[in-house]
Amino acid sequence: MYLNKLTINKFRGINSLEIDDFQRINLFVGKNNSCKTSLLETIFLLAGVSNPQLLISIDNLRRLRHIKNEDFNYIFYNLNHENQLIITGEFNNGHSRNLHITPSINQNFNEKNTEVFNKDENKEMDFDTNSFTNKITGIVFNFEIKDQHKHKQNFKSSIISQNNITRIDIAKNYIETLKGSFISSNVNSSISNKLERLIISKKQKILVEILKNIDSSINDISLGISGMIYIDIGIEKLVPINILGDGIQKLLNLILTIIDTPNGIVLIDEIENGLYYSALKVLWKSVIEVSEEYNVQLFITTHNFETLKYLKEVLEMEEMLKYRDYIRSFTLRKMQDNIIKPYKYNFESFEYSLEQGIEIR
Amino acid sequence: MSSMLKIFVEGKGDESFIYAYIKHLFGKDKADFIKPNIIKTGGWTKIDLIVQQFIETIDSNGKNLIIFDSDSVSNNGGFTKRKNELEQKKEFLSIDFELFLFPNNKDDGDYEFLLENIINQNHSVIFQCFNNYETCLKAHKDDEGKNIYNLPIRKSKIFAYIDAFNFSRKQKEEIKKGNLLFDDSAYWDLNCQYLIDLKKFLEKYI
Repeated sequence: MYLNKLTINKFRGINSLEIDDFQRINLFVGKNNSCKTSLLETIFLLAGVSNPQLLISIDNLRRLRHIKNEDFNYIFYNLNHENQLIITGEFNNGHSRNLHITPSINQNFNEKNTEVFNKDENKEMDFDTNSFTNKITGIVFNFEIKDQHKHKQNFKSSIISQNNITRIDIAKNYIETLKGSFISSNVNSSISNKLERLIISKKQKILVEILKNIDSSINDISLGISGMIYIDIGIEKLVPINILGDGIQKLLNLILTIIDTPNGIVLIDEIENGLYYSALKVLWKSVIEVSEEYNVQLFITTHNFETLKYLKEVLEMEEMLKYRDYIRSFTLRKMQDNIIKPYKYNFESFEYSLEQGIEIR
Repeated sequence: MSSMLKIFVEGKGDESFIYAYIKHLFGKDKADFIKPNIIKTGGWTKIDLIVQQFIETIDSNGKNLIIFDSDSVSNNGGFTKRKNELEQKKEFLSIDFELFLFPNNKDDGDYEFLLENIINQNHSVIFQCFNNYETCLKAHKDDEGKNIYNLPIRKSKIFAYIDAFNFSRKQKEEIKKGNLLFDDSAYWDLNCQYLIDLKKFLEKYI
Protein backbone atom coordinates (compact mmCIF):
# COMPACT_ATOMS: atom_id res chain seq x y z
CA MET A 1 0.00 0.00 0.00
CA TYR A 2 1.57 3.24 -1.18
CA LEU A 3 0.70 6.76 -0.18
CA ASN A 4 -0.24 8.59 -3.37
CA LYS A 5 -1.50 11.89 -2.17
CA LEU A 6 -1.30 13.96 1.01
CA THR A 7 -3.27 17.00 2.12
CA ILE A 8 -2.34 18.94 5.23
CA ASN A 9 -4.35 21.66 6.86
CA LYS A 10 -2.92 23.72 9.74
CA PHE A 11 -0.15 21.54 11.13
CA ARG A 12 2.77 23.29 12.91
CA GLY A 13 4.08 25.95 10.44
CA ILE A 14 1.99 24.65 7.53
CA ASN A 15 -1.18 26.55 6.82
CA SER A 16 -1.98 24.25 3.91
CA LEU A 17 -0.21 21.84 1.59
CA GLU A 18 -1.37 19.46 -1.09
CA ILE A 19 1.07 17.07 -2.68
CA ASP A 20 0.51 14.09 -4.97
CA ASP A 21 2.12 11.60 -7.32
CA PHE A 22 4.34 10.04 -4.70
CA GLN A 23 6.53 7.14 -5.78
CA ARG A 24 8.46 4.53 -3.82
CA ILE A 25 11.25 6.95 -2.94
CA ASN A 26 10.27 10.55 -2.32
CA LEU A 27 12.67 13.35 -1.59
CA PHE A 28 11.67 16.59 0.04
CA VAL A 29 14.14 19.39 -0.52
CA GLY A 30 13.90 23.07 0.28
CA LYS A 31 15.34 25.91 2.25
CA ASN A 32 15.37 26.06 6.03
CA ASN A 33 11.90 26.44 7.47
CA SER A 34 10.20 25.08 4.37
CA CYS A 35 8.45 22.55 6.64
CA LYS A 36 10.19 19.42 5.32
CA THR A 37 10.28 17.75 8.73
CA SER A 38 6.68 18.71 9.46
CA LEU A 39 5.69 16.98 6.26
CA LEU A 40 7.38 13.78 7.41
CA GLU A 41 5.63 14.07 10.76
CA THR A 42 2.19 14.25 9.18
CA ILE A 43 2.87 11.09 7.19
CA PHE A 44 4.06 9.41 10.39
CA LEU A 45 0.84 10.39 12.19
CA LEU A 46 -1.20 9.16 9.26
CA ALA A 47 0.63 5.80 9.27
CA GLY A 48 -0.15 5.40 12.97
CA VAL A 49 -3.52 7.07 12.73
CA SER A 50 -4.99 5.40 15.82
CA ASN A 51 -2.10 6.21 18.12
CA PRO A 52 -2.15 9.71 19.68
CA GLN A 53 1.07 8.97 21.60
CA LEU A 54 2.92 9.50 18.32
CA LEU A 55 2.23 13.14 18.76
CA ILE A 56 4.37 13.25 21.88
CA SER A 57 7.02 11.14 20.11
CA ILE A 58 7.36 13.60 17.24
CA ASP A 59 7.56 16.51 19.65
CA ASN A 60 10.25 14.71 21.61
CA LEU A 61 12.23 14.08 18.42
CA ARG A 62 12.32 17.85 18.02
CA ARG A 63 13.35 18.13 21.65
CA LEU A 64 9.99 19.71 22.47
CA ARG A 65 9.27 18.39 25.94
CA HIS A 66 5.75 17.81 27.21
CA ILE A 67 5.73 19.22 30.72
CA LYS A 68 2.36 20.89 30.91
CA ASN A 69 -0.92 20.48 29.05
CA GLU A 70 -0.34 23.60 26.97
CA ASP A 71 2.46 21.68 25.27
CA PHE A 72 -0.20 19.80 23.29
CA ASN A 73 -0.47 23.02 21.29
CA TYR A 74 2.89 22.41 19.59
CA ILE A 75 1.31 20.56 16.68
CA PHE A 76 -1.31 23.18 15.90
CA TYR A 77 -0.79 25.91 13.35
CA ASN A 78 0.47 29.05 15.09
CA LEU A 79 0.41 27.02 18.34
CA ASN A 80 -3.32 27.64 18.48
CA HIS A 81 -5.52 24.58 19.00
CA GLU A 82 -8.51 26.42 17.62
CA ASN A 83 -7.04 25.92 14.16
CA GLN A 84 -8.60 22.90 12.43
CA LEU A 85 -5.82 20.34 12.05
CA ILE A 86 -6.66 17.83 9.32
CA ILE A 87 -4.37 15.39 7.55
CA THR A 88 -5.66 13.32 4.66
CA GLY A 89 -3.85 10.58 2.77
CA GLU A 90 -4.90 8.64 -0.30
CA PHE A 91 -3.26 5.32 -1.07
CA ASN A 92 -2.69 3.50 -4.34
CA ASN A 93 -5.14 0.72 -3.49
CA GLY A 94 -8.06 3.10 -3.15
CA HIS A 95 -7.78 3.21 0.63
CA SER A 96 -7.78 6.63 2.28
CA ARG A 97 -7.32 8.03 5.78
CA ASN A 98 -8.57 11.27 7.19
CA LEU A 99 -7.21 12.36 10.55
CA HIS A 100 -8.81 15.25 12.35
CA ILE A 101 -6.88 16.20 15.46
CA THR A 102 -8.83 18.21 17.99
CA PRO A 103 -7.98 19.45 21.44
CA SER A 104 -9.64 18.03 24.51
CA ILE A 105 -10.93 20.88 26.63
CA ASN A 106 -11.83 20.46 30.29
CA GLN A 107 -15.07 22.41 30.81
CA ASN A 108 -14.83 22.29 34.65
CA PHE A 109 -11.38 23.69 34.62
CA ASN A 110 -12.71 27.20 34.21
CA GLU A 111 -14.88 27.34 37.31
CA LYS A 112 -12.50 25.55 39.68
CA ASN A 113 -9.52 27.65 38.86
CA THR A 114 -11.36 30.93 38.83
CA GLU A 115 -12.55 30.12 42.31
CA VAL A 116 -9.08 29.34 43.60
CA PHE A 117 -7.65 32.49 42.09
CA ASN A 118 -10.38 34.69 43.61
CA LYS A 119 -9.72 33.35 47.10
CA ASP A 120 -6.05 34.17 47.00
CA GLU A 121 -5.73 37.95 47.08
CA ASN A 122 -1.96 37.84 46.74
CA LYS A 123 -2.18 36.17 43.33
CA GLU A 124 -2.53 38.18 40.21
CA MET A 125 -6.11 38.44 39.09
CA ASP A 126 -6.95 37.68 35.51
CA PHE A 127 -9.85 39.73 34.31
CA ASP A 128 -10.11 38.13 30.89
CA THR A 129 -13.27 36.05 31.00
CA ASN A 130 -11.99 33.76 28.25
CA SER A 131 -8.62 33.04 29.75
CA PHE A 132 -9.57 29.71 31.29
CA THR A 133 -12.26 28.60 28.93
CA ASN A 134 -9.94 27.12 26.34
CA LYS A 135 -7.49 25.18 28.48
CA ILE A 136 -6.28 22.19 26.56
CA THR A 137 -5.98 18.95 28.51
CA GLY A 138 -5.21 16.56 25.72
CA ILE A 139 -5.65 15.56 22.14
CA VAL A 140 -8.32 13.58 20.33
CA PHE A 141 -7.62 11.72 17.09
CA ASN A 142 -10.85 11.49 15.12
CA PHE A 143 -10.15 9.42 12.05
CA GLU A 144 -12.04 8.09 9.13
CA ILE A 145 -10.86 5.09 7.14
CA LYS A 146 -12.23 4.56 3.67
CA ASP A 147 -11.54 1.27 1.90
CA GLN A 148 -11.28 0.67 -1.84
CA HIS A 149 -15.05 0.14 -2.02
CA LYS A 150 -15.60 3.62 -0.51
CA HIS A 151 -16.88 1.99 2.66
CA LYS A 152 -16.26 4.44 5.52
CA GLN A 153 -15.59 3.77 9.19
CA ASN A 154 -15.01 6.35 11.91
CA PHE A 155 -12.86 5.89 14.99
CA LYS A 156 -11.61 7.89 17.91
CA SER A 157 -8.47 7.73 20.06
CA SER A 158 -7.31 10.17 22.67
CA ILE A 159 -4.60 11.11 25.08
CA ILE A 160 -5.82 13.22 27.98
CA SER A 161 -3.91 14.49 30.96
CA GLN A 162 -5.79 15.51 34.08
CA ASN A 163 -4.78 15.78 37.72
CA ASN A 164 -1.33 14.43 36.84
CA ILE A 165 -2.83 11.31 35.32
CA THR A 166 -2.44 10.66 31.61
CA ARG A 167 -5.09 8.46 30.08
CA ILE A 168 -4.63 6.97 26.65
CA ASP A 169 -7.63 5.51 24.82
CA ILE A 170 -6.88 3.71 21.59
CA ALA A 171 -9.76 3.24 19.16
CA LYS A 172 -11.51 -0.04 19.77
CA ASN A 173 -12.24 -2.33 16.81
CA TYR A 174 -9.50 -0.72 14.75
CA ILE A 175 -6.58 -2.88 13.69
CA GLU A 176 -3.63 -1.05 12.17
CA THR A 177 -2.30 -2.69 9.02
CA LEU A 178 0.32 -0.14 8.13
CA LYS A 179 3.65 0.29 9.86
CA GLY A 180 5.59 3.54 9.86
CA SER A 181 9.08 4.27 11.19
CA PHE A 182 10.67 7.64 11.71
CA ILE A 183 14.42 8.21 11.61
CA SER A 184 15.14 11.59 13.09
CA SER A 185 18.22 13.69 12.37
CA ASN A 186 18.59 14.35 16.12
CA VAL A 187 18.28 11.05 17.86
CA ASN A 188 20.41 7.93 17.61
CA SER A 189 17.88 5.20 18.04
CA SER A 190 18.78 1.83 19.43
CA ILE A 191 19.39 -0.63 16.64
CA SER A 192 20.05 -3.77 18.64
CA ASN A 193 16.38 -4.88 18.72
CA LYS A 194 16.06 -4.52 14.98
CA LEU A 195 19.32 -6.39 14.46
CA GLU A 196 18.19 -9.16 16.78
CA ARG A 197 15.04 -9.67 14.70
CA LEU A 198 17.15 -9.78 11.55
CA ILE A 199 19.58 -12.30 13.01
CA ILE A 200 16.69 -14.51 14.21
CA SER A 201 15.32 -14.54 10.68
CA LYS A 202 18.84 -15.45 9.46
CA LYS A 203 19.04 -12.48 7.14
CA GLN A 204 22.04 -10.61 8.51
CA LYS A 205 24.00 -11.46 5.34
CA ILE A 206 22.24 -8.63 3.51
CA LEU A 207 23.68 -6.17 6.05
CA VAL A 208 27.17 -7.57 5.85
CA GLU A 209 27.15 -7.19 2.05
CA ILE A 210 26.17 -3.53 2.40
CA LEU A 211 28.75 -2.82 5.10
CA LYS A 212 31.45 -4.45 2.97
CA ASN A 213 30.96 -1.60 0.49
CA ILE A 214 32.10 0.82 3.18
CA ASP A 215 34.78 -1.38 4.71
CA SER A 216 35.76 -4.50 2.77
CA SER A 217 37.29 -6.11 5.90
CA ILE A 218 33.84 -6.58 7.49
CA ASN A 219 32.97 -10.31 7.42
CA ASP A 220 30.09 -10.64 9.84
CA ILE A 221 27.87 -8.84 12.32
CA SER A 222 26.57 -10.21 15.62
CA LEU A 223 24.83 -9.18 18.81
CA GLY A 224 26.24 -9.58 22.31
CA ILE A 225 24.08 -10.48 25.33
CA SER A 226 24.19 -6.90 26.57
CA GLY A 227 22.83 -5.59 23.28
CA MET A 228 26.26 -4.51 22.06
CA ILE A 229 26.73 -4.97 18.31
CA TYR A 230 29.97 -6.59 17.19
CA ILE A 231 31.66 -6.68 13.82
CA ASP A 232 34.04 -9.32 12.55
CA ILE A 233 36.82 -7.58 10.65
CA GLY A 234 39.04 -10.63 10.35
CA ILE A 235 41.16 -10.11 13.47
CA GLU A 236 41.23 -12.43 16.48
CA LYS A 237 38.44 -10.70 18.38
CA LEU A 238 35.10 -9.25 17.41
CA VAL A 239 35.08 -5.44 17.44
CA PRO A 240 32.26 -3.34 18.96
CA ILE A 241 30.57 -1.39 16.17
CA ASN A 242 31.03 1.89 18.08
CA ILE A 243 34.74 1.70 17.28
CA LEU A 244 33.99 1.90 13.56
CA GLY A 245 32.43 5.34 13.85
CA ASP A 246 29.04 7.02 13.65
CA GLY A 247 28.71 6.70 9.88
CA ILE A 248 28.54 2.89 9.90
CA GLN A 249 25.99 2.98 12.74
CA LYS A 250 23.87 5.52 10.91
CA LEU A 251 23.90 3.43 7.75
CA LEU A 252 23.12 0.33 9.78
CA ASN A 253 20.19 2.07 11.45
CA LEU A 254 18.76 3.21 8.11
CA ILE A 255 18.98 -0.20 6.51
CA LEU A 256 17.74 -2.07 9.58
CA THR A 257 14.78 0.29 9.92
CA ILE A 258 13.76 -0.28 6.30
CA ILE A 259 14.10 -4.05 6.69
CA ASP A 260 12.13 -3.86 9.95
CA THR A 261 9.23 -2.01 8.28
CA PRO A 262 8.15 -4.43 5.53
CA ASN A 263 5.29 -3.16 3.34
CA GLY A 264 5.37 0.04 5.37
CA ILE A 265 6.52 3.61 5.30
CA VAL A 266 9.89 4.88 6.50
CA LEU A 267 10.46 8.57 7.09
CA ILE A 268 14.05 9.76 7.11
CA ASP A 269 14.91 13.28 8.21
CA GLU A 270 18.17 14.67 6.79
CA ILE A 271 19.41 11.39 5.42
CA GLU A 272 23.01 12.51 5.07
CA ASN A 273 23.43 13.48 8.74
CA GLY A 274 26.48 11.81 10.25
CA LEU A 275 27.63 10.26 6.98
CA TYR A 276 30.82 11.09 5.16
CA TYR A 277 30.32 11.99 1.48
CA SER A 278 32.09 8.87 0.26
CA ALA A 279 29.44 6.75 2.02
CA LEU A 280 26.53 8.50 0.30
CA LYS A 281 26.78 6.38 -2.83
CA VAL A 282 26.67 3.18 -0.79
CA LEU A 283 23.83 4.63 1.23
CA TRP A 284 21.66 5.41 -1.80
CA LYS A 285 22.33 2.13 -3.55
CA SER A 286 21.49 0.16 -0.42
CA VAL A 287 18.44 2.23 0.48
CA ILE A 288 16.98 1.88 -3.01
CA GLU A 289 17.60 -1.86 -3.30
CA VAL A 290 16.49 -2.75 0.22
CA SER A 291 13.35 -0.62 -0.02
CA GLU A 292 12.38 -2.52 -3.15
CA GLU A 293 13.10 -5.91 -1.62
CA TYR A 294 10.99 -5.16 1.48
CA ASN A 295 8.38 -3.11 -0.38
CA VAL A 296 8.91 -0.01 1.72
CA GLN A 297 7.88 3.47 0.68
CA LEU A 298 10.39 6.11 1.68
CA PHE A 299 10.02 9.81 2.41
CA ILE A 300 13.34 11.53 2.83
CA THR A 301 14.39 15.11 3.53
CA THR A 302 17.67 16.71 2.61
CA HIS A 303 19.05 20.13 1.83
CA ASN A 304 22.46 18.85 0.89
CA PHE A 305 23.62 19.16 -2.71
CA GLU A 306 26.09 16.27 -2.45
CA THR A 307 23.30 13.96 -1.33
CA LEU A 308 21.30 14.78 -4.45
CA LYS A 309 24.36 14.50 -6.65
CA TYR A 310 25.20 11.03 -5.37
CA LEU A 311 21.61 9.88 -5.82
CA LYS A 312 21.83 10.99 -9.45
CA GLU A 313 25.15 9.17 -9.87
CA VAL A 314 23.76 5.97 -8.37
CA LEU A 315 20.77 6.03 -10.68
CA GLU A 316 23.09 6.47 -13.65
CA MET A 317 24.77 3.16 -12.87
CA GLU A 318 23.87 0.45 -15.39
CA GLU A 319 22.38 -1.91 -12.79
CA MET A 320 20.30 0.89 -11.21
CA LEU A 321 18.61 2.28 -14.34
CA LYS A 322 15.45 0.28 -13.59
CA TYR A 323 14.92 2.25 -10.38
CA ARG A 324 14.69 5.67 -12.04
CA ASP A 325 10.91 5.65 -12.15
CA TYR A 326 10.87 5.04 -8.38
CA ILE A 327 12.14 8.52 -7.65
CA ARG A 328 10.30 11.77 -7.08
CA SER A 329 11.87 14.91 -5.77
CA PHE A 330 9.69 17.68 -4.38
CA THR A 331 11.04 21.14 -3.80
CA LEU A 332 9.04 22.76 -1.03
CA ARG A 333 8.56 26.51 -1.06
CA LYS A 334 6.83 28.55 1.60
CA MET A 335 4.51 31.08 0.00
CA GLN A 336 2.55 33.93 1.49
CA ASP A 337 0.34 32.99 4.47
CA ASN A 338 2.47 29.88 5.10
CA ILE A 339 0.98 27.96 2.22
CA ILE A 340 3.54 25.36 1.18
CA LYS A 341 3.84 24.60 -2.52
CA PRO A 342 5.60 21.51 -3.82
CA TYR A 343 7.44 21.53 -7.15
CA LYS A 344 7.74 18.04 -8.54
CA TYR A 345 10.72 16.58 -10.41
CA ASN A 346 10.80 13.11 -11.93
CA PHE A 347 14.20 11.52 -12.45
CA GLU A 348 14.72 12.99 -15.91
CA SER A 349 14.04 16.55 -14.82
CA PHE A 350 15.90 16.00 -11.53
CA GLU A 351 18.97 14.74 -13.40
CA TYR A 352 18.84 17.51 -15.97
CA SER A 353 18.44 20.26 -13.38
CA LEU A 354 21.46 19.02 -11.43
CA GLU A 355 23.53 18.79 -14.60
CA GLN A 356 22.66 22.35 -15.55
CA GLY A 357 23.44 23.58 -12.05
CA ILE A 358 19.83 24.66 -11.54
CA GLU A 359 18.98 25.14 -7.87
CA ILE A 360 16.21 22.75 -6.91
CA ARG A 361 16.85 22.86 -3.18
CA MET B 1 11.08 45.14 -10.23
CA SER B 2 9.00 42.02 -9.58
CA SER B 3 9.57 40.12 -6.34
CA MET B 4 11.21 37.32 -8.27
CA LEU B 5 12.81 37.56 -11.69
CA LYS B 6 14.24 34.57 -13.49
CA ILE B 7 16.18 34.88 -16.74
CA PHE B 8 16.43 31.70 -18.78
CA VAL B 9 19.36 31.62 -21.19
CA GLU B 10 20.88 28.88 -23.33
CA GLY B 11 24.41 28.34 -22.02
CA LYS B 12 27.22 29.64 -19.85
CA GLY B 13 28.41 32.19 -22.43
CA ASP B 14 24.95 33.76 -22.57
CA GLU B 15 24.76 33.68 -18.77
CA SER B 16 28.03 35.52 -18.49
CA PHE B 17 27.06 38.13 -21.06
CA ILE B 18 23.62 38.80 -19.58
CA TYR B 19 25.13 39.21 -16.12
CA ALA B 20 27.73 41.64 -17.46
CA TYR B 21 25.15 43.61 -19.39
CA ILE B 22 22.77 43.88 -16.42
CA LYS B 23 25.73 45.03 -14.35
CA HIS B 24 26.53 47.62 -17.00
CA LEU B 25 22.94 48.87 -17.14
CA PHE B 26 21.81 48.64 -13.53
CA GLY B 27 24.92 48.31 -11.38
CA LYS B 28 26.72 45.48 -9.59
CA ASP B 29 24.31 45.14 -6.65
CA LYS B 30 21.33 44.51 -8.88
CA ALA B 31 23.31 42.18 -11.15
CA ASP B 32 24.55 40.16 -8.17
CA PHE B 33 21.01 39.95 -6.84
CA ILE B 34 19.72 38.59 -10.15
CA LYS B 35 22.71 36.34 -10.91
CA PRO B 36 21.51 33.23 -9.02
CA ASN B 37 18.34 33.41 -11.07
CA ILE B 38 20.03 33.47 -14.46
CA ILE B 39 19.36 29.87 -15.45
CA LYS B 40 21.24 27.92 -18.09
CA THR B 41 18.64 25.80 -19.82
CA GLY B 42 20.68 24.08 -22.50
CA GLY B 43 18.37 25.41 -25.20
CA TRP B 44 14.74 25.85 -26.07
CA THR B 45 14.02 22.14 -26.48
CA LYS B 46 14.83 21.56 -22.80
CA ILE B 47 12.16 23.81 -21.32
CA ASP B 48 9.90 20.85 -20.57
CA LEU B 49 12.51 19.45 -18.20
CA ILE B 50 12.70 22.61 -16.12
CA VAL B 51 9.08 23.68 -16.30
CA GLN B 52 8.85 23.70 -12.48
CA GLN B 53 11.30 26.60 -12.43
CA PHE B 54 8.85 28.66 -14.49
CA ILE B 55 5.87 27.66 -12.35
CA GLU B 56 7.73 28.55 -9.15
CA THR B 57 8.27 32.11 -10.39
CA ILE B 58 4.65 32.47 -11.47
CA ASP B 59 3.43 31.22 -8.07
CA SER B 60 5.60 33.89 -6.43
CA ASN B 61 4.04 36.58 -8.64
CA GLY B 62 7.42 36.96 -10.30
CA LYS B 63 8.44 37.26 -13.91
CA ASN B 64 10.15 34.80 -16.25
CA LEU B 65 12.31 36.16 -19.05
CA ILE B 66 13.60 33.94 -21.84
CA ILE B 67 16.61 35.12 -23.82
CA PHE B 68 17.41 32.54 -26.46
CA ASP B 69 18.85 32.46 -30.00
CA SER B 70 16.63 33.06 -33.02
CA ASP B 71 18.96 30.81 -34.99
CA SER B 72 18.66 30.73 -38.75
CA VAL B 73 16.73 28.83 -41.39
CA SER B 74 19.87 26.81 -42.19
CA ASN B 75 19.91 25.35 -38.65
CA ASN B 76 16.17 24.78 -38.47
CA GLY B 77 15.38 28.07 -36.78
CA GLY B 78 14.86 31.70 -37.61
CA PHE B 79 13.23 34.51 -35.67
CA THR B 80 9.60 33.88 -36.68
CA LYS B 81 9.84 30.11 -36.45
CA ARG B 82 11.55 30.07 -33.06
CA LYS B 83 9.20 32.67 -31.67
CA ASN B 84 6.19 30.60 -32.76
CA GLU B 85 7.69 27.43 -31.35
CA LEU B 86 8.26 29.07 -27.99
CA GLU B 87 4.78 30.59 -27.92
CA GLN B 88 3.36 27.11 -28.55
CA LYS B 89 5.53 25.74 -25.77
CA LYS B 90 4.19 28.43 -23.46
CA GLU B 91 0.64 27.37 -24.17
CA PHE B 92 1.32 23.65 -24.02
CA LEU B 93 3.10 23.85 -20.66
CA SER B 94 0.70 26.46 -19.24
CA ILE B 95 3.53 28.74 -18.26
CA ASP B 96 4.22 32.39 -18.73
CA PHE B 97 7.34 34.24 -19.87
CA GLU B 98 8.53 37.29 -21.78
CA LEU B 99 10.68 36.52 -24.77
CA PHE B 100 13.73 38.08 -26.37
CA LEU B 101 15.52 36.33 -29.20
CA PHE B 102 19.17 37.09 -30.00
CA PRO B 103 20.53 38.98 -31.77
CA ASN B 104 17.98 41.84 -31.63
CA ASN B 105 14.53 40.29 -31.27
CA LYS B 106 13.70 40.78 -34.94
CA ASP B 107 16.39 39.18 -37.10
CA ASP B 108 17.63 35.65 -37.51
CA GLY B 109 20.89 35.01 -35.71
CA ASP B 110 22.28 34.15 -32.33
CA TYR B 111 24.39 35.17 -29.36
CA GLU B 112 27.61 34.98 -31.37
CA PHE B 113 26.15 37.18 -34.08
CA LEU B 114 25.27 39.75 -31.42
CA LEU B 115 28.82 39.65 -30.05
CA GLU B 116 30.25 40.22 -33.52
CA ASN B 117 28.29 43.45 -33.58
CA ILE B 118 29.40 44.78 -30.23
CA ILE B 119 33.17 44.42 -30.39
CA ASN B 120 35.33 47.45 -29.77
CA GLN B 121 35.62 48.84 -33.29
CA ASN B 122 39.27 49.73 -32.72
CA HIS B 123 39.93 46.01 -33.19
CA SER B 124 37.67 45.32 -36.16
CA VAL B 125 40.78 44.43 -38.13
CA ILE B 126 40.79 41.08 -36.30
CA PHE B 127 37.58 40.11 -38.06
CA GLN B 128 39.02 41.20 -41.41
CA CYS B 129 41.95 38.86 -40.80
CA PHE B 130 39.57 36.12 -39.76
CA ASN B 131 37.44 36.62 -42.87
CA ASN B 132 40.58 36.30 -45.02
CA TYR B 133 41.35 33.04 -43.25
CA GLU B 134 37.84 31.80 -43.95
CA THR B 135 38.04 32.86 -47.60
CA CYS B 136 41.34 31.08 -47.93
CA LEU B 137 39.90 27.86 -46.48
CA LYS B 138 36.89 28.06 -48.78
CA ALA B 139 39.18 28.17 -51.80
CA HIS B 140 40.29 24.61 -51.19
CA LYS B 141 37.79 22.23 -52.82
CA ASP B 142 37.82 18.53 -53.64
CA ASP B 143 37.15 17.07 -57.11
CA GLU B 144 33.41 17.38 -56.56
CA GLY B 145 33.74 21.03 -55.65
CA LYS B 146 33.08 20.51 -51.95
CA ASN B 147 35.05 22.23 -49.20
CA ILE B 148 37.97 20.10 -48.07
CA TYR B 149 38.27 21.85 -44.72
CA ASN B 150 35.65 22.57 -42.11
CA LEU B 151 34.84 26.21 -42.17
CA PRO B 152 35.21 27.86 -38.80
CA ILE B 153 31.94 28.28 -37.01
CA ARG B 154 31.04 31.67 -35.57
CA LYS B 155 31.96 30.54 -32.07
CA SER B 156 35.56 30.20 -33.34
CA LYS B 157 35.39 33.70 -34.73
CA ILE B 158 34.49 35.16 -31.35
CA PHE B 159 37.15 33.13 -29.56
CA ALA B 160 39.70 34.10 -32.25
CA TYR B 161 38.80 37.73 -31.54
CA ILE B 162 39.29 37.55 -27.81
CA ASP B 163 42.24 35.18 -28.14
CA ALA B 164 44.10 37.78 -30.19
CA PHE B 165 44.81 39.83 -27.06
CA ASN B 166 47.40 39.31 -24.37
CA PHE B 167 45.86 38.27 -21.09
CA SER B 168 47.00 37.31 -17.63
CA ARG B 169 46.59 33.70 -16.52
CA LYS B 170 43.60 34.70 -14.40
CA GLN B 171 41.91 36.41 -17.35
CA LYS B 172 42.56 33.37 -19.52
CA GLU B 173 40.87 31.17 -16.95
CA GLU B 174 37.84 33.47 -16.96
CA ILE B 175 37.67 33.31 -20.75
CA LYS B 176 37.76 29.50 -20.62
CA LYS B 177 34.75 29.63 -18.30
CA GLY B 178 32.79 31.61 -20.91
CA ASN B 179 33.34 35.05 -19.40
CA LEU B 180 34.78 36.93 -22.38
CA LEU B 181 35.57 39.98 -20.20
CA PHE B 182 32.45 41.80 -21.30
CA ASP B 183 32.83 44.52 -18.74
CA ASP B 184 36.12 45.63 -20.25
CA SER B 185 35.49 48.34 -22.81
CA ALA B 186 38.87 47.63 -24.39
CA TYR B 187 37.24 44.61 -26.05
CA TRP B 188 33.48 45.21 -26.03
CA ASP B 189 31.20 48.18 -26.53
CA LEU B 190 28.21 47.66 -24.27
CA ASN B 191 26.95 51.16 -25.12
CA CYS B 192 26.64 50.40 -28.80
CA GLN B 193 23.39 51.01 -30.64
CA TYR B 194 23.11 47.33 -31.59
CA LEU B 195 22.13 46.50 -28.01
CA ILE B 196 19.28 49.00 -27.85
CA ASP B 197 16.51 46.39 -28.22
CA LEU B 198 17.98 44.18 -25.53
CA LYS B 199 18.43 47.24 -23.29
CA LYS B 200 14.77 48.22 -23.71
CA PHE B 201 13.66 44.66 -23.01
CA LEU B 202 15.64 44.40 -19.78
CA GLU B 203 14.67 47.88 -18.63
CA LYS B 204 11.04 46.88 -18.87
CA TYR B 205 11.41 44.13 -16.27
CA ILE B 206 14.38 45.04 -14.08
